[in-house]
Amino acid sequence: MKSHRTYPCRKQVPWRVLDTEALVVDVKAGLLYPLNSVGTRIWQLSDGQRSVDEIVRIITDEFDANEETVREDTIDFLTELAQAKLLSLEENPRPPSAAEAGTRPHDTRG
Amino acid sequence: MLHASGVAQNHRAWVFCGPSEAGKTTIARLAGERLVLNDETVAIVKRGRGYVACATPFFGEGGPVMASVQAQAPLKGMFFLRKAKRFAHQRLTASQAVERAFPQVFLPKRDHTVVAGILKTLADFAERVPCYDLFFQPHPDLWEYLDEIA
Repeated sequence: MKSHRTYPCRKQVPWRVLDTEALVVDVKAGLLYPLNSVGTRIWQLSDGQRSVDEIVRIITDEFDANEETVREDTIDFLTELAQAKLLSLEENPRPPSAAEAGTRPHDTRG
Repeated sequence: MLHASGVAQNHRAWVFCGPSEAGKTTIARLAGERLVLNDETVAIVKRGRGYVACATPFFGEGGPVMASVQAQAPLKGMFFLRKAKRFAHQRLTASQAVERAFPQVFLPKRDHTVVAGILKTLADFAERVPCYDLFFQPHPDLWEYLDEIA
């Protein structure tokens, strides 16, 4: 994964944050994925407009963690979510309107 | 509607949720004089600020006798069943409760809008109704233990 030009983008799946954890549903499989607080933050940041590098920087700052560890874990996590078809790994950023359209109608928060 | 058994006492219901073989029917059979709503499926309906557990006609291993009532009662709490060698319970966070409840919901269809609605309902439910993991053994003392849970 070329982290400086890979842009994770959530797919249109139902999800919701409870407490500090996101619950993400794979509708076709009928499976619910609970994400921990770091995973939840990565999920929230995966809007198709931020690169993996940008996400790693934000997570490193917010959780006061080692950047290389965060990078490895973030790439593993994003790869798993992509394999589960819960997000896509785009080579270009989505324009803001497209990124919003891709997630907001099915964002069940609130 | 959930894979769950339901038992009412003093106009309040406990719901016991879990997959096949989790112990739903066992708990219903141990209920004694208490009112068994069902040993396999229970409908949960929002009413006012709380939720009500409703009997359904879809019985499990206990047979038709476990689905013979037309009753409902305000929900006191929900337990997720874990077989063990002792009695214990642990309060769950809302997200833990949704995580455990979701696989036990009868999905009418795997449609995005339907699933999003169920997720929203479960989240609201889990924030309003106390949910617990229940570690139990099939012993008559079970209900004495449950009666002591506020």
